[in-house]
Amino acid sequence: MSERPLELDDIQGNILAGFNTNVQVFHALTVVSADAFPEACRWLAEQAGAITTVAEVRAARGSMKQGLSEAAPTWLFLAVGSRVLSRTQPDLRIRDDAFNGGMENRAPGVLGDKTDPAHWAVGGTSNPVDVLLVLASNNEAAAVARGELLVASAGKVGLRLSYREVGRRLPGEIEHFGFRDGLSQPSIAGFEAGGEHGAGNFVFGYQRSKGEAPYAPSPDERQIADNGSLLVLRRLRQDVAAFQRFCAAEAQRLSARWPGVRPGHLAALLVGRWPSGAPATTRDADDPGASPADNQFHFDTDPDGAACPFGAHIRKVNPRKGPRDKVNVPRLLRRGIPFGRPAAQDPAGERGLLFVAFQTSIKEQFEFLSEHWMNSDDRPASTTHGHAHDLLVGSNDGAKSMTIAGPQGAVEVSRAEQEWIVPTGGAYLFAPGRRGLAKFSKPASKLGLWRVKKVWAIALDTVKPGRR
Amino acid sequence: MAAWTFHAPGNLQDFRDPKNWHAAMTSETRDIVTLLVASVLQKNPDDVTAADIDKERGNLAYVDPTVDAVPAGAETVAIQPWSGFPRAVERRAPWAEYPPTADDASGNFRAVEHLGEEDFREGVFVDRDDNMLHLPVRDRQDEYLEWAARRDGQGRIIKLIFVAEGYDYFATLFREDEQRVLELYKEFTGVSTLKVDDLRAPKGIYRRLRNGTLREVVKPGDFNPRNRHNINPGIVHLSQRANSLSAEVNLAGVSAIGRKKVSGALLDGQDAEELLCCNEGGDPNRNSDPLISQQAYAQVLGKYRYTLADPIGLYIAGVAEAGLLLPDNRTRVPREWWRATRGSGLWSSTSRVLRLELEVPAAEKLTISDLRVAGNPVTHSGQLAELLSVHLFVTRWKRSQDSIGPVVACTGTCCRRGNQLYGSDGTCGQGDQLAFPGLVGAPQPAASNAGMAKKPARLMTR
Repeated sequence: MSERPLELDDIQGNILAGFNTNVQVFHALTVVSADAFPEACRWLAEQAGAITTVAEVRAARGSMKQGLSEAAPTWLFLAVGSRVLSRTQPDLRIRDDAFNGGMENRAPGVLGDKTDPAHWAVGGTSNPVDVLLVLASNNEAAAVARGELLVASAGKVGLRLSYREVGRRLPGEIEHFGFRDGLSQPSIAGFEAGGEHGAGNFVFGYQRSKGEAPYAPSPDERQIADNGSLLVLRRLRQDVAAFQRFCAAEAQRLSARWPGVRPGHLAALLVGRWPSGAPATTRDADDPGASPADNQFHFDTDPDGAACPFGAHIRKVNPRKGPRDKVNVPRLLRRGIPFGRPAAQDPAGERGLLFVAFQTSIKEQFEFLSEHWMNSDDRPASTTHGHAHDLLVGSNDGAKSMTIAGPQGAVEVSRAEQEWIVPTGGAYLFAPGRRGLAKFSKPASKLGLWRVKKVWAIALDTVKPGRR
Repeated sequence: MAAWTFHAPGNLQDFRDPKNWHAAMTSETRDIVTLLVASVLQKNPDDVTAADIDKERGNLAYVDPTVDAVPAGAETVAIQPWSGFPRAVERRAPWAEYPPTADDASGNFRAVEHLGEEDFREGVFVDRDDNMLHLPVRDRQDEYLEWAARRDGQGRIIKLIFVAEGYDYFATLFREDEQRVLELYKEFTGVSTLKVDDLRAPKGIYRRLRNGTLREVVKPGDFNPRNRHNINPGIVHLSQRANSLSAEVNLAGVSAIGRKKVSGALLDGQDAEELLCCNEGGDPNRNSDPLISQQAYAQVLGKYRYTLADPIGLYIAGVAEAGLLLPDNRTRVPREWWRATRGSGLWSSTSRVLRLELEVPAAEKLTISDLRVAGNPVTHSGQLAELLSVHLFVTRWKRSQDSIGPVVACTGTCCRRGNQLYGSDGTCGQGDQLAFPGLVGAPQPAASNAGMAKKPARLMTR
């Protein structure tokens, strides 16, 4: 089966290319009443020409880097929630339990969240995210101004602003704990030379693996989902001081069995990388100061977790060529950006990461990584006698431990309930292609095949032939 | 000879004479060693002599512990657990025949409950008199984990049972002690009126393929692993054809030897599907087989020798308990509601659980359907299966020489049809693609590679 060329003038730019601007202003909009959905959809369709495609990001990347004037270019990204699709596009079914179930519903059981969705800063039970607008620019004022115009326009059709936050890149591309972020991204076949991952893992309408049929929702007679993607937005609050205190205290506690171990080395082993992005190992006590240029390193030479602990965050979410419990490693396109001022500038302020990730199955990709790997003590790999909790991000009840092969034998780094990364909101969304978004204003055929299939599904569900 | 005893999985005490189980596993192990030696010597396994085995067995990574003693310093390690929910089902999603519903968007939860004969090649089952037999089993639950739900009059799930016991264990036990198998069936199905003959295939079971070939599945009078009582009400043991202990032993064995491509390059084992297609040890569409093979092969490349740890078995490794919550969608279900009724050690990393049951205590006035998985009520048993994992154990030790032992050619490769792989000698069907070029040369006439491809007959029920 021949591969379909990527339609870069239809796919939204942040998905494949990443905005990578200094500023991104996030706006969540909530439809105020049930009867406002049709009008809101017409408004959404009107934005189709304004959203920024991959081709546009590529073409304007150079000018964006220099554009710091008031007239600086801004880029628009748009996504919608499951309520919008289910109420206005009944002939499209995204066949993903996570997207349909919603983050707030699944967060306690699947993501292990302890925070109450009723109190989330974005999304949650009282403020469902029906529309997400992201304005990206290197000029904050320009992004803010364009965002205000769009929000005002949306307000006239029953879309209420329920959340607004400015994400800003930190110098050196780091997140608030001081580590370089976003280094490891899957390379995409057909998008970059030597791309390893089928575009269908991230964009609907393409192969997930070579030789496979294109992956797309069904039913979708009007191809609304074509060139679209599923988005995870997760607001993660970071407590920098708590993380640093923990690393210092554990280094002190372990010093008898690991003489000279420093808090920075311990922190690097929790992450799996040094602040520079270089892979961390138990052997090297100092940051070599640079990450591998091609990010090509693997864990096949470390099958027992002797150099990089199995619980190290980067090893939990991507075991590379090391041992694992799943044949196909789920990957995400991560497009997150920090929010809040650095701790050194504003110790009392709130800060964290606006985690953004694209995929075509939230359940099989983001949720799998969270539930089955990050929140697990022994997956994707561990030794029979060791612990492999992801102490950095993983969420579990009770004490968590990571076994590290120290120079004088294995040591355990443990934490109780102290959380330094706390989820404070988010949503599962759908980011349509430009053509798909334009179709939002056109109603589905009342007699389409989709309706027959829906009736069939209801009938089958009633009979439940497979139940025993 | 070494002093070694194969104990029953989970150290169960079903056998009146444990030597019978030991004998069965000893045969399995010797078969594998014979197969490996045949591969090294490029011989037909039927032509391998005792002298051949004596000469070669010391170089193999896989060890017959009844012949070569396991050294004192050997360590027993768990193979990384794999998900009990079938990968092959996930790969076929979204299911056109199961349109999206509110509680099953992809169709996976309904598809995995399918009862049928997909686990055998297209054809029909017949007995020795050529009477057609209808023997559906849980043919899509192929990760060495199967399950059954008990429902009340309103359709609510009141009990969920998961098993990881190979049907061939029961077939072997049946040969020694039919009454013990009947007891177990009565206990686990709740059908007190069952008789031994209900579990027997009086006239045998044969698979007649579409091309007319007839293959024996069960000898006349032997245990029928596809008997209906294991399905409904069920569940006593695994039923899917590939879910056997014999398959586990076979897979661990064929993975225990270095493999090279046509170019002579050693397979590094990084691509688990490629490795499995090369050694033909199982189904590359599953999670379990490629991962077991890959991890066994890693022992070879790591210059270890190994054997499957005693007691050999496939075990429920654990439950991702954070995923199952009370109706408040916040509080975990108490561990006490899970009960290991065969095997033990559920909440440890060395779990050897063979049968696991989930039931809500009567005092709670809840059913399992009231519980929450991913925020939703439990309407399909597959929702819980996604939380379970399965594993097995190997006992390993470093080789005394700096060597990985013999390296042999791949015996097969795979073609890709859609998102499914199937075994091949290098020839693919029209429209299909060769998934892993370079594993085997151009297809040869059957006679020229018979020595490599032929495997000894399995001694159990496969």
